[in-house]
Amino acid sequence: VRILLLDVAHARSGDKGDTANVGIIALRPEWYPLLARELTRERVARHFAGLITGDVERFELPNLNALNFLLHGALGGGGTLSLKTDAQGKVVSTALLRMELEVPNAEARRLGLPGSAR
Amino acid sequence: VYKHPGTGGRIDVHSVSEQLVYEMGDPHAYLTPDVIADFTTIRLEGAGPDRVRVHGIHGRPPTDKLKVSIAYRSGFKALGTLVYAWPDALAKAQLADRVLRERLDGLGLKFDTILTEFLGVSATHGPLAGPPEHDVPEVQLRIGVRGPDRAPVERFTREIAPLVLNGPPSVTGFAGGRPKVEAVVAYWPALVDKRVVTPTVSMEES
Repeated sequence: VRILLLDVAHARSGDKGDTANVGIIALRPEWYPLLARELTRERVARHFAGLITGDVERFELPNLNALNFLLHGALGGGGTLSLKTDAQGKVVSTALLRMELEVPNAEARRLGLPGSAR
Repeated sequence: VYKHPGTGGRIDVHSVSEQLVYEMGDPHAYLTPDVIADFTTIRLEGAGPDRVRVHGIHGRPPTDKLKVSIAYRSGFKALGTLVYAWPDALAKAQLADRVLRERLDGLGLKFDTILTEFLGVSATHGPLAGPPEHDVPEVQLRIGVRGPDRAPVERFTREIAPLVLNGPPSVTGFAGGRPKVEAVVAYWPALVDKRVVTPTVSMEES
């Protein structure tokens, strides 16, 4: 079954220079292992392909049921140099929440995941 | 973390977690002048309505560096916007963008960056948003340029108004007049040795 990340997580993003950070937090603690497994560095880099010019770094915060991603070269130079509407990366979080996860039916039922993707 | 009752908003483990991951780099080593905080050790627990208990965080001694935020002049920029209305708002905005870029090319203007965004369609999510599901009511075309010299940026600002008369129809949103040229003050975060900085406090009385 396909699950929209928006339905299982919430997120916050911001900037450090030309790097956007996206912190993504499981809506329920029991969903964190699924996020940690599916949201690999490579997967997130593929999701943002064409939108960022640099690497992706990934950090785990199991104590907060959260992952933190650094998207380098995401903000068109960042800060005052950037010409982008979202020069501070405030809504990059919502772009990540568009991701769809493929989860086996049995696991989705066991974890009580909400419906299939919209 | 808590707040006064009846003041709106919400404090819970989720909202405090969002605040913790906001503008975070490496959570194992969040550098401050006083301590290197390890945010992978912090514990949050709900402790009643609009109240979260925060405990358990560990840290290490700080580095021998301080962060300096340096500002410097870095050329000029300008942003122009126009709004195109239904029908075919996106196609009109895209055509206007092509016309404008050809004009800039023809004038021989050189910039470090030219950025076009279509607000209402793809400005914040880019290709992840996919094509619009219907013929949207309006699209804002937003074009920005940045370069080392003022003159080409100034020239760019004179090229927006002609699009209104000579470009795709059903266009509005230009009452603000010609875009303003802005000097760019860029940001350079750097580290300096703590030994070269002597903090002093001066009290002023009036």
